[in-house]
Amino acid sequence: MAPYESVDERVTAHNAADAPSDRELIAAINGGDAAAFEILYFRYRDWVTGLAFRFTRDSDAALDVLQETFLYVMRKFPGFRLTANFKTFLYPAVRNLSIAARRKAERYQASEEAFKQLENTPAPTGPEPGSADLNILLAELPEEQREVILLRFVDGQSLNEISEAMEIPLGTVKSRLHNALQTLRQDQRTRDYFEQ
Amino acid sequence: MQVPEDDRDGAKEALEAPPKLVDALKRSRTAPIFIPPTVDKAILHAARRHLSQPKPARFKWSLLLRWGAAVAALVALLAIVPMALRKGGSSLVRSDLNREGHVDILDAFALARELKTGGHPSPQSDINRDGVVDDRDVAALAAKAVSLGKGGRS
Repeated sequence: MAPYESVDERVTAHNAADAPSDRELIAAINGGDAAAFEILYFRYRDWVTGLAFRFTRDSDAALDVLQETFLYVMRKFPGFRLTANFKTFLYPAVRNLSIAARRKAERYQASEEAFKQLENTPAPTGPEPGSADLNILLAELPEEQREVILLRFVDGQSLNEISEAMEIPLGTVKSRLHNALQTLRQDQRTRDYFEQ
Repeated sequence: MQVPEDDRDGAKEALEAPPKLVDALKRSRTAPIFIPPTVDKAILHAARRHLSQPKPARFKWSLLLRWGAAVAALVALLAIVPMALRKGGSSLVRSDLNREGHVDILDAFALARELKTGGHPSPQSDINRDGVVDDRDVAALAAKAVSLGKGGRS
């Protein structure tokens, strides 16, 4: 593998159009190829960290989840069979590890309700001031609707992939997405996004 | 609930977000979290160690099944064949008194002649196994020879 000067170069190279597919990498890793694991790691590292942060709202906890997630992935080899999109496989692992990370941190009550309350607190504002309203409205959405919106439009997952990742029926995915978009469409803070 | 055909486009549109919203959603996410290189190194080092471990020898059930089947077949062969030989052999030996290799009426005549001349037929001539070699054995042998001649049909 060619030496890279920076991690960014590595991440870019591993996502290039001519890079091996996830299935090819997994087949190689099943054969003991550590270089293939590295490619897979850099391909999904940032997504896993971002998703973990979405759940935990804590960067240290997100890094812990990143490590735990890839240790979990590693232990699947040899013999791992990818039956769906790799993000679909990773999503429930990241979510569950995030819940566990929050409990470990002991900053909040160790309960699902506390976790959901944490989910509903407004996210830190992004780099663009105009996104504050959108962030606040997203935080006000029910957790399950917010997650579907983000998986669909930020992570680029198809409806079927979301259904598989969240382990809910496709109809439920559509219903949650519809309701979330309806809320955004009708709210005056985000109505402008829907105007032509 | 089935969406009417003329409303299917509307239903699909209800699940799409305008490009402006999609861009805003992507931008609204916080800036990427800084991942220290030490975290990358730790994970990749653990992966290299795990993947370089020799694979544990997997017990091959198929091999056990094959060997088991072979042993079972051998045991069956060793048990059944001698039994078959003894049964068939004993019957042939008992009945084939003139040692021609087959049982026919001549064997009955040979026994009858031996009894008439006061010979001492061997215990194998006790065809009906009543402990005595006599005319009843001659009759049994004759009957057997006839039934064998008819192909064993009664």
